[in-house]
Amino acid sequence: MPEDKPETDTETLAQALADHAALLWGAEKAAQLQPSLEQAARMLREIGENLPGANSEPSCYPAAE
Amino acid sequence: MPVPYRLGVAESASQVRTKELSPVDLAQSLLERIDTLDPVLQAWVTIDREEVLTTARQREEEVERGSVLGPMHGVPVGLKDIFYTEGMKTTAGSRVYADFVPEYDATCVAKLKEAGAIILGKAVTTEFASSDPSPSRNAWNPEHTPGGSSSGSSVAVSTGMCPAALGSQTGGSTCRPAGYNGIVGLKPSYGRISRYGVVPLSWSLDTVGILVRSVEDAAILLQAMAGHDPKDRGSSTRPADNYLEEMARATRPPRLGLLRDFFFERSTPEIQAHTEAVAQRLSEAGAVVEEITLPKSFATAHSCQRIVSNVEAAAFHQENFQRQADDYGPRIRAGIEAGMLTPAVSYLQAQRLRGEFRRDLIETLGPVDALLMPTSPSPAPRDLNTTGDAVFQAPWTSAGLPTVALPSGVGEAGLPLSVQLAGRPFQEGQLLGAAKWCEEVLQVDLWPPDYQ
Repeated sequence: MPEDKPETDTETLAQALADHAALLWGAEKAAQLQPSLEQAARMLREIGENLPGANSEPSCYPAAE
Repeated sequence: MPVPYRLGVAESASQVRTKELSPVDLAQSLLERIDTLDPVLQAWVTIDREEVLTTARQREEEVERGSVLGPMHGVPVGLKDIFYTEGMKTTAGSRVYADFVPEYDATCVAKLKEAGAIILGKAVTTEFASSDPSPSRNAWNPEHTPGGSSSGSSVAVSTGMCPAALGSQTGGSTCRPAGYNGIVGLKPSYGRISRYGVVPLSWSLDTVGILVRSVEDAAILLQAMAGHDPKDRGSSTRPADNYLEEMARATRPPRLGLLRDFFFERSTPEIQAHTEAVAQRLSEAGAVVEEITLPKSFATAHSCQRIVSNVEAAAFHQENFQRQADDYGPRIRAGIEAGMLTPAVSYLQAQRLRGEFRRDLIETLGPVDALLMPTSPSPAPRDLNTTGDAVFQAPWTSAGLPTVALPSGVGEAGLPLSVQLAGRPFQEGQLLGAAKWCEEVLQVDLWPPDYQ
């Protein structure tokens, strides 16, 4: 259902992060990280939903003015 | 005449210059204060008494000879324990840096010394200026957090153990503890003060912060340290302004943009009512206070700040972390691990969103001199397992805008209350002018009741 989509996206992202963590540090460590991975996934989803336009912000580092 | 430890930077420096106050007496007064208070408050990591008194004697001789080094001549300053100090341990509150002794001073430390300041010692920081709590206690109530990460610096200034201290801010680490401890905090624009020789947490966010007892004192320290440093890749090439002159020129009541949305939604009823009352008082004194709406890009400001901070911390710590992960505290460790897992594309998009947010905020500031909001959602929480919530600082740090935390009263629980002002990038003079005007209207000078 459409209203479930954001939560599903977060879960998918969290699972992808957990898989990555398991590759790096093993399944046990990945399981321990679950709460912080969920938080990280929420932040990544937020960025994904608000992507800057292709040419809207060419810089990726704060300029030293 | 007040006892020396109760003097601020401007007063101390003035009395030293006119020989009313000996730098040695001032230093001794502060060292005695530290001896009395620090066993309970735990604000300091390293104090080299001999070095402090030797330097103070030197400053005194210089005054006698009519040779004053600069505007902070003879004034002792505390440093958060992430600032490199030549020959003095710099632990960053971490087991990883437990025995690290730098071979040079951070640029900002060298500049303070050039201005005549005496380095009093190294103040407690949370581990790597992140969010694992430090042992420091809030002088207003030791069961409440002093905030972080500049915990020791804030506690020391709030109790008169030093008239000024340096902190840093990557999320909310200067203005939040300033608010929790009832003192003035200044986080300048990103790039305004060099971070060369400051242990990084996140290169594109880290900002040197100033903790003092008055807006004028904040301007004095900013003046001493601001300016380009080719050794810091994030340092701005814009020349430093004359902040004291600009602040003094700003005598007309400021135009303030009150931020209710988000900041009021996230605050306790006490903080909401207090901030409204402050806005009302400033308005009655002549300020133009108008409500300002946040730009749409505010929605991702916190996530962008966290993602960038995590990834950059992971990059900085990568080598040490691979070797000694168990020497890291749980919160910095979780941040580093999250950073290691963050896709590169998301990091870059977060940086781009920060750029958009910064532009939007500059537009939002439009006709106002500064934005006005509470410094934190509540007074210092009664919980020593947290350093509090940086949610009201992180957006401004992320956008690189300067902010000032200003003490504004005492709350129901007997803890300090504070309001925060945010200004345009590199317009610290204008921001400090507005803050000074507010300070004069509010007339709030807080000392913890048990440490008057």
